[in-house]
This record gives sequence, structure tokens and C-alpha cells, in this order.
Amino acid sequence: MERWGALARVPGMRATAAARAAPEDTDSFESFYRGQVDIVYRALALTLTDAWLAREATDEAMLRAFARWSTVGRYDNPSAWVYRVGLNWATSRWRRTSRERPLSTEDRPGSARPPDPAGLAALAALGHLTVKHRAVVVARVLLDLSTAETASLLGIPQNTVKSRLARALASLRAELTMGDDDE
Amino acid sequence: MNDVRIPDGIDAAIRQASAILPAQVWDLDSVISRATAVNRLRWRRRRAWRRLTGIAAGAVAAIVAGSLGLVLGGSGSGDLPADGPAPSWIFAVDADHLYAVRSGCEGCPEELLGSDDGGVTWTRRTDRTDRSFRLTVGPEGALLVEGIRAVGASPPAQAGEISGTAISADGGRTWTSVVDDPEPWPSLPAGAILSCGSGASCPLGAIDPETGRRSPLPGQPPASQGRRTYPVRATIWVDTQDESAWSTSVSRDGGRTWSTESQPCQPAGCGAGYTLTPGLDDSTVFRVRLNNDAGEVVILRSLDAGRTWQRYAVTGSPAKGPSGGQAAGIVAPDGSLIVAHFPGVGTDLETWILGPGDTAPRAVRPSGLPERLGGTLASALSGNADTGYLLRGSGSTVYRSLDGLTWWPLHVRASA
Repeated sequence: MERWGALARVPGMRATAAARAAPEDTDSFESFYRGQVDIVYRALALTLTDAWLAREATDEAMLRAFARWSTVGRYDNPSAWVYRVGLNWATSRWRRTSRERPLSTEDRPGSARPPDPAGLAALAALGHLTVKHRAVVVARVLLDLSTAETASLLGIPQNTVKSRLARALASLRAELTMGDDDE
Repeated sequence: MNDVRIPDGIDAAIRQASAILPAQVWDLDSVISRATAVNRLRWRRRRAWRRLTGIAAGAVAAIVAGSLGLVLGGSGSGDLPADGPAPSWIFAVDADHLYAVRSGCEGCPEELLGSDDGGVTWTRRTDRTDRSFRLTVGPEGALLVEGIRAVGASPPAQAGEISGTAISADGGRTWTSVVDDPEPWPSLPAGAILSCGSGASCPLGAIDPETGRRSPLPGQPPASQGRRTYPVRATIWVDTQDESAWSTSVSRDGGRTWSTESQPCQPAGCGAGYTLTPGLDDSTVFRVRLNNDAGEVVILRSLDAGRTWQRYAVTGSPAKGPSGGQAAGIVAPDGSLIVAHFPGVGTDLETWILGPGDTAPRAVRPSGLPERLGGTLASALSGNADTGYLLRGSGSTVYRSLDGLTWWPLHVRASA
């Protein structure tokens, strides 16, 4: 079982010191926050299948990112770091409380129209995967990470990323009744 | 290494799933304010300690009613379970440094955890325990442990098992045995922990965290059947409430001299006393009391160390449940008194604020407060302007604030 350690210890996720200027000011973080917070939230929500837990995890992770912005801001992909910290936070909390609530769109505030059926079907299909498999799929699709970056993000070997992804895709394909013709 | 290609259909499906997630309203300001509040508190604390010039506040006591004694551990790092039971006790030294006691697992002995980064990560400071102990935290993070299992003949200077009472000046990493010396201190040592702060038959004393010496303070507050001691910055406040009067004593010179003001109780007697809450300077002090089950909370404010009092009253919801309501106060970093009233189980906390220049309290609505408390209000709510504030919610959650008005859940879990 892999440890969900700090991403900062993963060499592949670090940028060189000269890669970008030290972003110690609030403006730099604000720009990052405004551009990435919703992406991180959605990635966590799909991974955790709990939108409200994902909201809390995103808030926690963003706070920590701001507190360490002089370091985190230098990473190649600060969003991945925030995702990882949020996932660590949520999964440890998850284990402690044994809480897993299926993702639902019923409590979406201010929803003026019914959710997209295709989206609901995809949510249901994702819900049949384990959190580890969802993490791989979400990292690849929503965070747009490569296999190597996903491996660094999750602290697992690249071959494990591949095997999890293959299994997840097979499951999703079956759930969504897709053929292989688009592969 | 070639990447596994995500089929377009699945890629689109996942993005569709993402699109129907509940929308969120994001608040960058709250993130920044939480972080900057930590920095403000650090700055205030540095400034306050520079002013003290060698006179440190005494200990702020907290007692762990652990079922066990301690075997004090080493460096405190290492892999710890990321989950586990809720802490039985938690205390903040300042914005960065916190301590918590909890069992490592269900039914396991208790252990002491410490955080040096505001509660983000925690490390173990002790190992197993095997009998009762008291834990007291000093103003600069010194730890006093009493009731430790007696193993070994000599007090260790480094990690290991310690006999009797021990004190640590480095957050529980190394310990020194406490040794009594009857010679009074010339003045309160820096970072000292007060001893016998609530006793009636022992002199008020102090323990030096560097040497472990325990000696009486050079002067003593008036004798009483019981007292409560509140060291805040360079001032030591002592509250005594006897059958016919309550008294406010204060020392501004490290316990060398004391001044005391007494007020007779009402004809009906003292009853449930007014809880003393020290202000930020050496003259302002508050007392708070829930006056009746109708929800009337009385606030007393003195600007002359207890000689004269201004009286204010606010009315909240009537008490609910057999245990009745409760009220308590904390002093915010700007010197305002924040008064909390808890009418009873199943009700919300009600809060008011009395600013330094205010002529009347006004209702205030802090954000992020828990829906239910864990324990009584007086035991659940703690902290001051230097330490920040803690509020124990029901279940496993402890809430943290640095201004008394904005709260967030603090998750105590050890980090790998």
C-alpha cells in the first residue's frame, strides 16, 4: 500500500529554483487560486465521490498552499500539489469517520435545470471504481497529467498507474457501454 | 514511456460528470485572512514578549485526566497513525504551537502530540502511559507533567522514562525532574509555570523550565479557601470567591507585590460566581455570569484592577434542558470581551462583544462555530489573545480561532 506522503518530497514534481520567480506575494496566489480552485475541487469531488467533503478538502489544501506559497508556487504544477494535499486530508478524515456518501447532485444549490443524463451516468460509473482508480483517472483527465506525473503525484510506480488506468477504463467502458472503436 | 491514451468517449464522460457537480462559491479572502491572522498573532506575540524584559507570565494550567502515566519519548518524529480517536485534551501555546493528548487507537494508552505549524501536522512527544497524570502548559510552551511512572533511579536529561514530576522546555522532547527549593524566587523566571495556582494550603510558586527548580513566589496573594490563577503576559491575576465576598488580586511585578480588591456578595450570597477573565493590560478585568434561567448574562468590567466595576446585561434565549444555560467570556486581540451564552442542548451559541470604548455590548455572529459543544461551555472554550482560541465541538472536532470571531475545524492527526 502506498503512502500518501507529501508531494514536495517527490522529485519529479519539483521545478528548478530558477524555473519561475519566487511568488511570495498574495497576488501570485490569488491568480493561482482564481484559476485553479474549481478545477481542484471538481477533481477531488470526482475522486472522493463526495462534493462537500471535496469542498472542505479544497479549502484545507488551499490554505496550506497559501501558507507555503513561497515553496509551493515554485512547483511545476501547484494544482497537483493542492489536489494531493486535499486528497490526503480527505482520505485520512474519511478513514477516521468511515464516511462515504455517494455523490449526489440533488443538493446542488440553485440548480435551474435537471442534470445532464450523460454526466449522471458517468458519475455512477465512476462510483463503481475504488478511490485509487478514480484518482488515477481524474489525474489523467481533469488535471491533465502524464503517466509519470500521475505516478509522482500519487507516489506509486508508473506501471501501477498504467494498470490502474487500464482497469478503470475497462470498468468505465463497460458501465458506459462504449465500444473500443474510439481507442 | 508512452502514456495510455484515454478514449475520447471516456474523457468526455468524465468532463460531463465534472460539469454537473454542485457549484461552489469560493472565498479567497477567507483563505488569506486565516493565514494572515496567524502572522498577525506571531507579530503581536513577539512584540509582547519584547516588552516584558525578563518578566514572563506564569503557566496557563490545563489538566489531563489521563488514566495513565507517561513514558516520555524521544525525538517525537516518526510514522504515526493518520487517524485515531479524538484528542481528550488540546491546548495552544501560540498560533504555531499546540499540544494534544489522545489515545493512539481505540483502547490504547494515551500519548502526547505536538504541532509546531498551527495544527497542520502533529508529531508524537511521548509514548505509552500507565497511570494518572497532570499536564500543565507554560506561556512559552514549557510542559509540566506530574504523576509519571517511577522507573529508574536518576532523572534523565534526555528522552526516556522519568520519575515523579518533570518539566520540559523544548516541547516535550527532553525532560528535567522538578526539584523543590524553599528559597523564594526573586521574581518570576522567564517562561515559568505557576505551581499551586488553585491550592489553599500551599504557596503560589513557579517552576523554571530550564532547571526544574520549584520555589514560592516572593510575595503571595491573600490566603483563601480556594483560588483560580490567571497569568496573562506580565500580569498575574488571582480570583478568590469565598462565602461572603469575591476578590480580585493582581501582581504586576512577577509576584513580588500584590494588590487586592474585594466586593461583598449580594445578600443572597455569592452563589455561582462571576468568572474572571483578564484583559490585555494590567488593569482591565472582566467577570461574566449567567444570572438566571431566563438567559440574562451579566458582564462586569473593571478598568482599575477590580476596584470599581461597570455592569452590563444582555438577554439571550431561556435555558433549555435540565443542566440550564452557561456563559463564558474570552478577550479578543483588540481587548474586546466576547461573551458566549449556551442556552442548552440543541441550541445555538449566542454571542455578544463589548469593545474597549463601547458603552453597551452588542450582538455579534462569529462564523464557523460548531452546532453542538463537547462538554460545558467553560471547559469547551479556552484561550486568549496570545494563544488563540479553542472550542471543543461535540464528537471529535476541535475548533480554532485567532480572533474569537472566525472559527474553523482543527484536525488533530499525526503526520507521516
